[in-house]
Amino acid sequence: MAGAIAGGGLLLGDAGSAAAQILGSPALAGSPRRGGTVKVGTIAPVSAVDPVTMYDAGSIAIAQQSAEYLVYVNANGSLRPVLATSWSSDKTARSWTFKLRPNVKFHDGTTLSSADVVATFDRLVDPKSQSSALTDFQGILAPGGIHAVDASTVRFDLESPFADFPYLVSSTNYNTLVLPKAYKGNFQAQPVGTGPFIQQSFTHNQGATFRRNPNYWDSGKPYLDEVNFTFYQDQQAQLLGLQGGSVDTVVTISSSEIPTLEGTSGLRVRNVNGSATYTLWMRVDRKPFTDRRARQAVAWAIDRQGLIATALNGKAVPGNDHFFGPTMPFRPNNLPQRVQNLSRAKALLQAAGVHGETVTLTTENTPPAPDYATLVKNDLAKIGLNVKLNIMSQSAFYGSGKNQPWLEVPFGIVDWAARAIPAQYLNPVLESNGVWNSPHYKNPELDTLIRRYNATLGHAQRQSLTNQIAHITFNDVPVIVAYWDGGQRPMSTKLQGLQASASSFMDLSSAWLT
Amino acid sequence: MTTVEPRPVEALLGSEAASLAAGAGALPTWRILLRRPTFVIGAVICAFWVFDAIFWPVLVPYSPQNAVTTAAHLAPSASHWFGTDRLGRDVLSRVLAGAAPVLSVAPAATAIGVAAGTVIGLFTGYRRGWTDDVGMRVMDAMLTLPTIIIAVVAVGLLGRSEVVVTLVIAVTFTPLVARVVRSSVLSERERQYVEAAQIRGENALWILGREILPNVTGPIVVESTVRLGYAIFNASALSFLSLGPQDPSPDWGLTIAENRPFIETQWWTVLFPALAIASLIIGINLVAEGLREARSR
Repeated sequence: MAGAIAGGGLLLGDAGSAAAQILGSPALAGSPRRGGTVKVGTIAPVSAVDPVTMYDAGSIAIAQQSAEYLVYVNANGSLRPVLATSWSSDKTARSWTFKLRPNVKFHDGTTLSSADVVATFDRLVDPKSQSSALTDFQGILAPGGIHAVDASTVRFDLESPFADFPYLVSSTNYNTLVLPKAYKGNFQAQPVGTGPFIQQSFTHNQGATFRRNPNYWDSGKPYLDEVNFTFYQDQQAQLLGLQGGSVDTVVTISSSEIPTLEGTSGLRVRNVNGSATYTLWMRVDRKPFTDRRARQAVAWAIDRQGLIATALNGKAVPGNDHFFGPTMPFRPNNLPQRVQNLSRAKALLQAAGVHGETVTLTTENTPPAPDYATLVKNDLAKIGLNVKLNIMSQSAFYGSGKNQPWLEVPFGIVDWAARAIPAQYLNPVLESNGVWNSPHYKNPELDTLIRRYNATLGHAQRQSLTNQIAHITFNDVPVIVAYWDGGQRPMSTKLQGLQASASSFMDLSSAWLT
Repeated sequence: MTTVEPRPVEALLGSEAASLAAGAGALPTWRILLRRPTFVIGAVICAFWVFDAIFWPVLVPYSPQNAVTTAAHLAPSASHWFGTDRLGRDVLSRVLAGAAPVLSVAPAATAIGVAAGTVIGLFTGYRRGWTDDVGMRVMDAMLTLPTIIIAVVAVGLLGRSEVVVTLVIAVTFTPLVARVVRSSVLSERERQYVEAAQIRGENALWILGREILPNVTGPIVVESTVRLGYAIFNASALSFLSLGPQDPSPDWGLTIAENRPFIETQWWTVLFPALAIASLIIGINLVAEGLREARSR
């Protein structure tokens, strides 16, 4: 069962990190200790650090030290109240009310109030803001929809019902850091937030330093006195910094470096499950994939376990050709896990009348896509489908304007960063008018179910809709989701209380040094 | 010219050009060559790789593309002499199969570069005057462009293929060959047999093709051999930088690039293709050295 597999996956991840802790850390137990400085390495921010417009992992991790979200999404997908203590919706999931945490102080001494939250979200939904959050709010939250009910209560009136709305004002929509009403766009030089650390300096292309916020609302935290970021220009330099002990941990790491780091003494690698993946799509309006059985044949031919064991260094859980990732609120409980079945795949391909054809599989030259493509070619050769690979540079693959191969080619593999809720996949990829509908899939029944899922609050109804949606994608296979990838983070064995993050977030509020 | 070429061999070329000026134009015979151990060892290594490039399908113990995911990252053993790679493919089979792409690109690139360089060198050296001035300035300008830059631009405009890599290497070789041929022609054209042909009223094409060219084949052959070594190196370097063949090609340069992250944990995936490149280049250089020694005797 899918549920059982997901559980096994979680266990695997936990066991992996627990083993790493036992091997790598002398102080597995013990209570957090105050004091000390943690050195963090990151690839230099690509532009000025501004919570409204930032999109690169380095900028996001730096901004997250000074400022905070209403809600934080834990590594396992659950929600943790931060600046909001509770939230509720009306019966239609169209009006959401958030209660703010009392007596939270910004770094400049002013107290957090609903006016700051309203200003923050007004800024983000302003079409002129060029915010990366605009896409997530599209059709859901518009200017004028955010209201201060009283000094500590904020109400969001949505354009359309959205049951997962708390996720859209959480860390998963990473631009939603709450800033003071008077914010003027000078965050990098003088960040003012409510976060656990206060920025002391920021030097372009060199680094940033932070000191403990003594007035932090979560009394006793943070444990660290200081956090120092070092900016690197490339992954190789960062890797050497980590191996040489210049930094204790890093924001992002290339998965291909993990095997090397796992063997470095003084370091351990923590893993978390996540809902990131590379999807394999088939255009349903192009031969040979117009026949559903041809698409099913491909799905049954792929060796998911082999793919995970090799191309993904064993650090992923199998996917089952639906978009409900292991860290999402609901998972289908009606589907058996698809595993490689070559005779079934051959029979389906034959039934579809596909014989001796060659298809071109297009993808981008970023790991693990080339290895994934190589294994797909290998697996499909076993059922008599010849595959030619076309591996493009990332910029050529995504293209621009009228030339965007990833939305045009009949057969391809594309990269998806971690997402917290299924709508972030289903709406763009599988809705008939989805903006990233590479498979060119159009199914009015699925469109209706997706809309109903997004508008439904009841637990039982949502589970039932999850099962129905997953059943359709599992059988129709416009997209193969062969695995779900999480995050890995190497860190010094002295560093405790810091997790890996599938989104490369850097939450040091509970971190401490042995 | 390029950043990848070490100086000493260029110096060797310089002395080559100097010996040409002295008029040692003809090729040494096979009997002389086969008495030179450097030539014989080099020729055996080259012959092995050429044989392998053609017959690898019957030489490989496993299919070079067959990924056995349950047998990934295996160290060298009796069943996998060179171990297996990250996807469970046999490294020995991939090294053997990897000779084919490089040995189709490098000789073709060398042939095109040498042919173009020879034609340009013959004409500029024989004509002298403004033909020589313009031709050589253009060649000098081409020499200033690094191979990598030309390759990045060419691949960006024309796409990633073996044809593009071949042409890029050929274009970078042309001015080098042209310079060597020109310097030989400069001394040959002053000789009396050329003067006699001119007096007989032969046209320039006939004199170049039938009189001068046969007398400069020695330096051209030596230059071609030296260039071939560089062509192998450049082709592998371009593959390493993802400008050459694509996955799942067993091309050596590409294989090294893909396995580089595993060098500390699975050294065999990088070492063996690197040794393959090194042995082929050394083999060709030994042949070139043998030819040079035989000619300068």
